[in-house]
Amino acid sequence: MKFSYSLIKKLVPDVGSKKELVKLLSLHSLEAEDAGIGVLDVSFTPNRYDAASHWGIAREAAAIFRTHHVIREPKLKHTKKKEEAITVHVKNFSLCPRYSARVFDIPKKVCSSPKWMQKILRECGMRPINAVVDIMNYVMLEVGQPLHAFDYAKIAGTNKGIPSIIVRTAHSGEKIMTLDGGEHELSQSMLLITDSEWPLAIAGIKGGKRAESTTKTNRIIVEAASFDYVSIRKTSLFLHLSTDASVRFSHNLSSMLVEYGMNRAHELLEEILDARLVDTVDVYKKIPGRKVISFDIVRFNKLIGIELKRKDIVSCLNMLDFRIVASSDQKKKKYDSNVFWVEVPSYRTDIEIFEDLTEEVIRIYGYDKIVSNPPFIGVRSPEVEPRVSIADQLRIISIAAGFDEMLTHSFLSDKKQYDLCDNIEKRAIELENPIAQDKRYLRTSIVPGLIDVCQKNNRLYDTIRIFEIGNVFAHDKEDLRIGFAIETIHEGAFLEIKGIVEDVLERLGMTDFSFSTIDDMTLSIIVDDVLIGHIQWMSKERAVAEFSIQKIVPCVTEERAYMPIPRYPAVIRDVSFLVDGDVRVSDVLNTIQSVSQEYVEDVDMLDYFEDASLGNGKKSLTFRIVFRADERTLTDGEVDVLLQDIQKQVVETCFAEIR
Amino acid sequence: MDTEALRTKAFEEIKNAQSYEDIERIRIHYIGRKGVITGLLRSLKDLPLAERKTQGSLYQTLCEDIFGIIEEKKKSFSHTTYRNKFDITRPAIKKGTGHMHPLSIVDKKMREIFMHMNFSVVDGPELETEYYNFDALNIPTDHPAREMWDTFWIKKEEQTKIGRKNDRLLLRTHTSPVQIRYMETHEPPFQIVVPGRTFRYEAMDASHEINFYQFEGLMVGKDITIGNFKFVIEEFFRMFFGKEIDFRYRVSYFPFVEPGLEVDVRFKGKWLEVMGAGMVHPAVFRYAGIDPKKVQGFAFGMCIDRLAMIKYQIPDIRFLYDGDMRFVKQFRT
Repeated sequence: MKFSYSLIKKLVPDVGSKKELVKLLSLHSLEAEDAGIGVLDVSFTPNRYDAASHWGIAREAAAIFRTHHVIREPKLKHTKKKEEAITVHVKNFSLCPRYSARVFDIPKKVCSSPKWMQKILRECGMRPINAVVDIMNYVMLEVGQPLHAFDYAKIAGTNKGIPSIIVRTAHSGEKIMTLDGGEHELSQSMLLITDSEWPLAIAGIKGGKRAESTTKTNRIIVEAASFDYVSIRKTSLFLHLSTDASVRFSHNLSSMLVEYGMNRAHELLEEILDARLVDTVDVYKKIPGRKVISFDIVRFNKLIGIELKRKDIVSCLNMLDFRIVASSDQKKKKYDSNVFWVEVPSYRTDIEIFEDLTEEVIRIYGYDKIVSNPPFIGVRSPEVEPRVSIADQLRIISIAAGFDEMLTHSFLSDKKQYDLCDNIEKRAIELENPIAQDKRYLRTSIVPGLIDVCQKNNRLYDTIRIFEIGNVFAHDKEDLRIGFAIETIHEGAFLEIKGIVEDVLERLGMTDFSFSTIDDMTLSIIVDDVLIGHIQWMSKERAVAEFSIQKIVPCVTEERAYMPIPRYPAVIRDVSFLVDGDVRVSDVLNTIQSVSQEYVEDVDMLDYFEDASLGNGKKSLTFRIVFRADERTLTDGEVDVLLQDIQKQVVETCFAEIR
Repeated sequence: MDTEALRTKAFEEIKNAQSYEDIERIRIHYIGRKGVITGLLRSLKDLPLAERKTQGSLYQTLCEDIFGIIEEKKKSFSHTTYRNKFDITRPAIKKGTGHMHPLSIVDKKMREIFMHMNFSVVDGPELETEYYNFDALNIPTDHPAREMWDTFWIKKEEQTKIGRKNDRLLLRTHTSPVQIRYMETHEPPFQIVVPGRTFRYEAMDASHEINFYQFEGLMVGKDITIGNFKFVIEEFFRMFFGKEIDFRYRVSYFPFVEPGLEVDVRFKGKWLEVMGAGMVHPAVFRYAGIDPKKVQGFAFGMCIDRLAMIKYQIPDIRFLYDGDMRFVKQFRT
């Protein structure tokens, strides 16, 4: 929001330079920056729209420069009603707690506003229009209360022909044409200003074309009102209408501002246009009461970590127009010199509790005055969420094994998504307000993002090895996953993916895991009898894997017990089988291991040989079998018998030939 | 055997040796297991006792002398004549490790610094409820403060399917909800940090992304003050950016802290906004089931992406998520 430096200087004569003002506002009040010659721009946090005016900034400036401001009560020439010229009915006090209207006769022709006013309007980014409209806008900029002026002659009335203003919610579908020529259709909850016949304005947002005041107008109605900020905000969003007035009304403005705004407009109308008050109406159910909050010096110092004396604290509060008062509570409790009562200025709707007051004191005193001070804590080993620490380990192992870590978006374009980890197609969760059509759904798997990365990068690299750790979403749960992808022009993508999964599981200390064939392309990963994910062959060049980190948390054992080194030597035999091309290695392995499990310590595949010379699409598999007994040395004779058993089983089960 | 003749002969041969193999052959011949001089030493036992001593010392001396000359000759070879056929200047064959994503590097460093100050690491769900993301953080519905966070909402119909008909679901806009979750189940005093992915409904550009990472901190106890907050984060930023940095504290507003402030850091001559923080609002303590009269504490939040971009001078936040591997491959841990 733009502000005129010259107007602020007028209100705070001893304010520093614009540069100093910008700097100190940013430290002590609100973020400000230079916005051109004579102009500064201030950003308001949602709680400080009480300061969204030159009076507001002037008060802040006076406090932070430790000087005074010259904001004064407007001086009015005529305050007595001439005649009854208007009636006001507020139909909904919760949406409109206060509505004040004044009727003025304008004897002079309404022309341009004075140059000094036009200058300030322009500095603040507004266009001068005519004296009446400009005064309304100027008072909004100066005092912070948005005002509106209606052409009296265009307001319809019923009661003896006296124009009446009604504040009510719209009928569903009711229409209004606003000042800019736009037409808006309203809904039931929207607040309207109407006369006895038609809508006059969308309350707090924009005036209607019908009763706009022009240079020909010689009697005006000035409106200064207070509206419920929730209603104004909702209406403004729904109609996509945002104005200087609606921005202010969308935040919690004090209804006390109505008086200041109206009186200042009254003063300027008299001064600039010789306006004469005809009638005045001020409708409200109740005036907001004084807010008094107790302030405990000891509590303050304890919260902030500082040692301020009463006079420093009171001084800061006084600079911001907070007054120290007597309170009836004081008499009830014992006198405590560390506790006093503070009256909150009526326009500070953001101050509710003691902690709000502490901020007022310390921000003026200066956060930089608080001394850094190490906290006292009990010595205790910090804990890390197991999920996080396991993810860390997985990351380190994967990187050491040559994989690059990627991060991708949590959104995908498809409603039906295949989740590799659970090996099913899932319906993804849909967003109500996606940022783009290709980001409407939450990801159910890490893999699609990784495949995308492969596609983006495969023209740059012969071999891509990537992984990602992140959360995915499904209707039954949110899950932390790790996904791997390899794409390479060389052979071996699938076997490498299998290898990395084995590597990471082993390095995490998982002793009991296995793969199970699901179909021609997919293996399931099983740890401690729990299915944690899958590995999938996608093509000769590409393979992927994904498993749930969540699921392995209970399986990760930190401790590894010492395993005694075998006492007796092993006997190693190699054996080759000729099998049909479609026989799986796992079938042969399983068959071997099922025979005499007691003495077969380990079986490794040494060779996998496919060649036309073997005929009929057959292949040769060579295995190294390690035989060992715990209690004695096995004899060659015993091993021969065991080997024969194994060979016999494999030949029968897998239709193999011994080579 | 004439030891002098033997000595002269051996020295001559050694002198003329051309290679390691020659030397080795000579050594074996004279002082190897079946060497000439070794044989002589063995034959000592056949000599009469009186002669054994004199001859023994002669043979021993010869043996040592020949050994010495052989060693010297070997040394001279290593300087002049030994030629390795293998070209040791060839480029290395590297096994190659992968690269950690810069956000992970920064997250890890941040967590380590805080863990050294006794902060525990906690995490929470990315798919959150309106209650934990807003209401319990003192940001009620229709409050103007809600405009500070542009939210991705989950379609209402999905809520029943997810089994949470009565919770309004969204993607968390900050990691602050985990503060509430943690406080509901833990008694103060404690100090925690919460790293995690968060989401904002914002048009993507060089400084805005729809998903990014935040790093939350919370320290609660009987007498934790703003002075303590300053100490902790000054320590953190010095360890993260280096000792030559300055700090600036400005008033700010977040509904879940009061007083509220923002922290700027001057790094390499520029002032940078790095953190929002404040003392936990009493309403937030109450929502979490903690009596605000008994404890007080500070909370802070930073954007990990922002710190990574400052540290590594990354100009565009979208680089962190758009899947260009050339970007990730630049980073060393």
